[in-house]
Amino acid sequence: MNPAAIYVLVVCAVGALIAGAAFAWAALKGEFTEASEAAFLVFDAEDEPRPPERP
Amino acid sequence: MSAAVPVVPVDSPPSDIAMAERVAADQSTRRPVLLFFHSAVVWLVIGSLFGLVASLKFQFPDWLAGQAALTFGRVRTVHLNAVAYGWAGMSLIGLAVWMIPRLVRAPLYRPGLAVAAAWGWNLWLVLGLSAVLLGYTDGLEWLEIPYPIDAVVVIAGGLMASSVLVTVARRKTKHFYVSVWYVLAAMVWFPIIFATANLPIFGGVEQAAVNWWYGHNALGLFITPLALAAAYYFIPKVLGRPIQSYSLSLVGFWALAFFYSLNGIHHLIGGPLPTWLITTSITASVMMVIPVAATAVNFHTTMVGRFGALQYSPSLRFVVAGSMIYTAVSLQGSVEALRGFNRIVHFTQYTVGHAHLGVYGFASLILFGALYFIVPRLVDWEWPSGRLIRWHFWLALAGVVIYVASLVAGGWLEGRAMLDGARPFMDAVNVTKPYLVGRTVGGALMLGANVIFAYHYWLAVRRRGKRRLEPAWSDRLSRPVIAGVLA
Repeated sequence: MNPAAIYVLVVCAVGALIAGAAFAWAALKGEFTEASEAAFLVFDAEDEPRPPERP
Repeated sequence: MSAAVPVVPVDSPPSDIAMAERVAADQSTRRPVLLFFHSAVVWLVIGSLFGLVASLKFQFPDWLAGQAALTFGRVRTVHLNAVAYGWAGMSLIGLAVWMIPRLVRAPLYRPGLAVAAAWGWNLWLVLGLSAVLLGYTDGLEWLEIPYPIDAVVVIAGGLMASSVLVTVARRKTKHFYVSVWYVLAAMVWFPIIFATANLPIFGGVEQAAVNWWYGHNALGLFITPLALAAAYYFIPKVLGRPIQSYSLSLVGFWALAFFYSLNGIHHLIGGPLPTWLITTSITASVMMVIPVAATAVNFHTTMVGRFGALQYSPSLRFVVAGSMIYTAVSLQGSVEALRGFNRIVHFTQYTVGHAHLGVYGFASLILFGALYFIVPRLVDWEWPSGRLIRWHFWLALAGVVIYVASLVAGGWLEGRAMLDGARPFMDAVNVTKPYLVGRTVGGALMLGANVIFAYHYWLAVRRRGKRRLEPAWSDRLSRPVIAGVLA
């Protein structure tokens, strides 16, 4: 097999591994289920955010 | 040299402690972020100037033709690299360095690393673009800088990424805000695609495939996620309301992560590549409709009922305009990847228009909005002139609209002429001539907008002009009126 192709396959495998691990980590840490909490992280002590409204 | 957290009494209310953490975060990023922004603005002006020179050569082909360094191939290459890596790259990294400590409630880890990264990034561009002007190039689009020089940016990027990643590791928040996801992803993706594409092990058609895999991903896996991170930060921040559906924002992020990396090969439709490879890329390009729709719906529903705020907040005006253009340019890209459409517009000015809609209309407008928000907080000095901001906005918008509309129309006609076997090739050249004037006019307007912005930026960081107690955008309105609009 062409060495360049092997290299690209390895890069793709590593990339997929990183993405898969990040996704699994996010699921286990509740990033998808506790979304409303994360949504307010953009605000800090100087802000007075209001909850989202029905558009 | 990380900044110390301001001292607050132990029995302080939580809001005081939170504010102290915010102040510490801002203090830690001030120096590196300003260095990234100063550099980015200089590259913006340089890159735009080279862009206009390149465009003028379509009207005056003999102009500067006697100087090898100023021939079209070199001038256009310097333009691309200066705006993509100098302006967009450096300002987006500065933006990420500023945002991350705020979002994870922790000061930037070793700001000196980020400062060194900014100098390294500048050194890479100075050496690389000098080499291009002297005729040394790798000859691959978006990868023209000779690969031995690329070692400099690998080191610089590593320093910057280590500072940001360790900061995230030291976070005091339980969750990541969606902007943090985008920034982290860009920090992981860019080194992988850049290192892979620069390795001198590919040849022939492989090289073309890797080249376009990189070229498209430089936009989609580096510039796009960082610009979207900014939009997800500034739209809720300015409005004082969280994004309408946070869950949908995560759908947008993960869908982009899964589909974007395969898109680049659609640049080689019709080329000598396996059909399955190109079909996979076309499919992924069409699937991009999912993250784009998720993002567009989310931004729109967050803005509904509050579009009046655009009149009063320049940050919001630029960011929302850039976000709307993101939807347009992404959908345009999905259509452009279809074989029937691509057959006509491939190798034409249409693609040039599409690229400018992405890098200038989408990413740069969001960046301008971000800088209008951040710079006063870094230099403790308001933007001196609301008028200059308005001129900047309308010149930039008019410039990119004229530019893109001209090249979309001209490129379509050019493609149709090239496909007509009964017409001589010169017909395809002649039919684009009036549209290339539109390219130059649009480019000149964008250059004018950029020069105004650079001048205004210089006034602000030098604390020149009249000291304002109110933001420049409120020069005709009182605070209660603005509060009413945003309520």
